[in-house]
Formats: sequence, structure tokens, C-alpha cells
Amino acid sequence: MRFTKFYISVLYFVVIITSIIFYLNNYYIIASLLIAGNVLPGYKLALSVVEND
Amino acid sequence: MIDQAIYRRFNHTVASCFVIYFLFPEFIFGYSRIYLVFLFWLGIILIEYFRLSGSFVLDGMRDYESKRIAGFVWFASGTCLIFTFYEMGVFPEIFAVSTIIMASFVDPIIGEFNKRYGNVYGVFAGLISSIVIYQLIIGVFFYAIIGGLVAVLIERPKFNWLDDDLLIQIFPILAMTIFYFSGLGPDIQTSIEAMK
Repeated sequence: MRFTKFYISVLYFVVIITSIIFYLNNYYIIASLLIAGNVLPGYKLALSVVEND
Repeated sequence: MIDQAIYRRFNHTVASCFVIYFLFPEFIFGYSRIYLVFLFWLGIILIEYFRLSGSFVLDGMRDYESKRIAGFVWFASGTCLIFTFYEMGVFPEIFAVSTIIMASFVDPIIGEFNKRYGNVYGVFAGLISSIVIYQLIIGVFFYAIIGGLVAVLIERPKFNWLDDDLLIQIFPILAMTIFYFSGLGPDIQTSIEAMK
């Protein structure tokens, strides 16, 4: 479980960094899509992790 | 125990970040970036080999995946195939980027709608979302329709020896590429530079 939590935090980090890189390279549509597509499952997963704690 | 279905969905949508590959320099430490793809794919195969041999248990696996190749391997293989064919000059960059993002998001959307509202809604949700994603990235409705239709049609049938995570990437990009190179589809800017 500890590894899974670490892995999930890496996933959040990857999404944020990738979106920022695309944004900084002026690919606003791709950056927005990456955020929009990941925000709902990411939020739901965060809720699930918190409830599990 | 965390919600396994949500965990699977998030893993799926995070795969959209694979498109960062297209921002990598062409050569990394003097080696072509395609070697990175081979290394990545090899890593995935090794993880799957040890998972199937029972060396460790991965969270988020479906029951039927305990004895067969898991979805993440199919998805990664599809993405690596797209990268490889892109580097060979077969797939245009804009199709590759849009298809990887589309496949990452649309498969979970179809799955979630199927579960909550039934298969018909799943098909419509998949079709609408795939067309919207293609249209936003490619910007040509013809390719958005072709890619979206093929993605949803190929997602429906279930094969024992192949997974939709692979098919939902390969078939739409193949269809769009055939239309583009045959001249049947409209001419487009194939580089994502055009999106700036």
C-alpha cells in the first residue's frame, strides 16, 4: 500500500510537470487537455485514498 | 483498500502524458530517442513477466488479467508502435499526438458510461469525446469523424488474443493516415508546431 501511494503521487507529479512543459512550449490546447482529462479521475482517486486512510 | 476501478481509470488517463515524447530532443546523449522507446517497452515487458510469474502483485488488475497479458502492456505496446512508425515517417506527428491522447481518455470514458448508463450511452459518449479531442488537436472535422468512428467501432468487439487498449490506438491512426496519404482526406499541417 505504501508503494501504491508513492506511485500515485508520482502519477500526479507526471501530469502536472507534463502539462506545465506543454504550456511553457505554447501548446495550450494539449496542456489543457492533459489537465482536463486527468482532473476528474485524479480527484476521485485522491478522495478514495483519503477515505482509505 | 483504494477504489481499484478509479485507480485503473487514473492510470489510463495519465498515459496521455506519453505525448511528452514529441518534445524530447531527437538525440539524447548521442543516441536517437527511439532507443528510449525500446528501453521503456522492455521495462514494461519485464514488469509483466514478473507479475505473471507471481513475483509480485500489482494493484488495479482485473481478475481475468491474473493469467493473461494486462491492459497496461497492450496500451504501452500500442503507444510504442505509434512512436516507432512516427519515427519511420509513416504516421504524421499530429495524428500520433491526438491518437495517444484520445485513446488515454476515451477508453475510460466508454467504460464508465457503460457501467453507469449502459452500452448505448457508452458508445455515444466515446464517439463525442473522441471527435472533440481529435477536432481540438487536428482541427479538421473530416479526420475527427474518421478517427472517432474507428476508435469507437474497434473498441466494441472483445478478442481473447488482443486488447482494445492496443486496437483503439492503431486502427484510428491507421485509418486517418491512409486517408491522408491517399489524398482522399484534406491536406493538413502534420506537425504539432502548427498548434502554437
